[in-house]
Amino acid sequence: MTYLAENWDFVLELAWQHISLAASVLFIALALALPLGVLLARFGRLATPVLGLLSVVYTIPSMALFALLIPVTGLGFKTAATALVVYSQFILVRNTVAGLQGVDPAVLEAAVGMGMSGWQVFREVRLPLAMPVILAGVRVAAVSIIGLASLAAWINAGGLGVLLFQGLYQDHATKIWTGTILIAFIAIAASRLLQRLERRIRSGLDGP
Amino acid sequence: MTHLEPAIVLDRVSKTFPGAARPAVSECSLTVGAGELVVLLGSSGSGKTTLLKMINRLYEPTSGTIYVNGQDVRAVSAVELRRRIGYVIQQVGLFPHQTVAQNIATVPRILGWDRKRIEERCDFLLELMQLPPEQFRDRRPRQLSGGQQQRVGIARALAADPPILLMDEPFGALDAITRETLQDELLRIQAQFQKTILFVTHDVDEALKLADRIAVMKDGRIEQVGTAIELLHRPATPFVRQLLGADDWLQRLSVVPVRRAMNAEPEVAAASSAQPLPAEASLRDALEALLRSDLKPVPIVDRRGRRVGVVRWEDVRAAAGDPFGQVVSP
Repeated sequence: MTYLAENWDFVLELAWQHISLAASVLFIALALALPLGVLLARFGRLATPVLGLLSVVYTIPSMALFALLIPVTGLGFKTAATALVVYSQFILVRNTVAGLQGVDPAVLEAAVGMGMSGWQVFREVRLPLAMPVILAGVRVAAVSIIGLASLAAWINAGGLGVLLFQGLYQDHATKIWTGTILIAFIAIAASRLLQRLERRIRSGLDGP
Repeated sequence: MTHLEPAIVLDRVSKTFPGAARPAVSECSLTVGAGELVVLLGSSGSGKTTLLKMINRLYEPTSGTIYVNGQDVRAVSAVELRRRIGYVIQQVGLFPHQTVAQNIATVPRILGWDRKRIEERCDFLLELMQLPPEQFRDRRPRQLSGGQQQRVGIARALAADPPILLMDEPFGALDAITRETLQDELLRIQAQFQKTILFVTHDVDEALKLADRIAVMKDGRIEQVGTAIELLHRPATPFVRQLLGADDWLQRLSVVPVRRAMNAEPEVAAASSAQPLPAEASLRDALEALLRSDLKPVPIVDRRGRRVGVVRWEDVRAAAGDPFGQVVSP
């Protein structure tokens, strides 16, 4: 407890680094995954090979992925962010495709049959109905990004992982505990937040 | 039905799906008059749904031409065309994330109607479909029974007041009682607004009950087009004869409305001493009434109680076909 009391500003800074790394990764990952998912849902034949490739990337251990990227992007934030973005693509793209393709064909047929344009069908019918599944993917991705961001410390990208590695090297259990609990706390908070958003959208679908 | 302005004209329309060995629809020609209710009747795989979906360009024909209100459907964009044609499908396809009112407002909203006009139209249609607006307007599709959902589906199709309605087995997923109620409502709406309706079904009783004319389809071809009475009386092919089940003619008579066999002779009706029959009664009711009146002409009264015509023994006899005879060539 004394450690935390004496170093709270350092810990807070690490926590902030952790959150901003995870948040920017999630943002970039979504900016890539959503259009890609829409494209794959539209051109279904591409979905299987692309998702297959992403699932192979997903199975690469994250440490190995960091190591592979260091020669390209060097040490630090860029490498950590790149690895985590690549890593989260599989979940995000898969859920986007599944959500968009899972919309009841009868609903789509009615929409097209009534004379909605392709864009209207997408914006007013397909996307809102796919939203819960897409958001479920975002939640899983967010939690895994927050967890994996701990490894960023290993390549000098900061975050609460710094506490974990320091604790390991210095045999300082309090640092390990502090880091672990804070990371878990952030992950749970993010999950709760997204869950609430998901529920609100679902209740919009299911009615009061 | 040549006195009616043609609303839909199919001219030797064929459709072969890519990779299919034989055409789903081949050389179909049919004219649907304005305000007419024509049923495409056939078993699954007969091409009736494919034919229907070519009218609002959900499918494009391989050859042949389709005219809607005198205009080649390819002359306008598919999206524009569809906004002028109501479309109702068996699975209804209501938008689950929208309220009943929002669902109904779909096409008017796209067409840019103002809010007040949309609201009024929506309430009018809900009332027309026997769904009290204040009770149903804000509900979600999931909170409705199957029958209520299809009522909303029909209201949504009628929203922008299209002159033409395409209906693809709209009552196929409903229980028998709900189905009959909705069939009656469709006839009521049809009588009130004179929509041109092309209605797909595999249910012979439904076809006999609803249709002004029936087009029987088999293997992508139209086997015969005619009124229920014509089809029952003179089936053109063994298939039509078998489909309409001439052996079971008493049952068939019980679904055909008597007005289809009625002679518009109000003077004769006024003079008749027999017990009058409502226009909604079936030919089977007419048969009973004729037997009771000793085969004297039975007067038919409309909803307002006016004697509008008579039905005679020959009319019912004709509709019964020739139970023991051979197929009569047309």
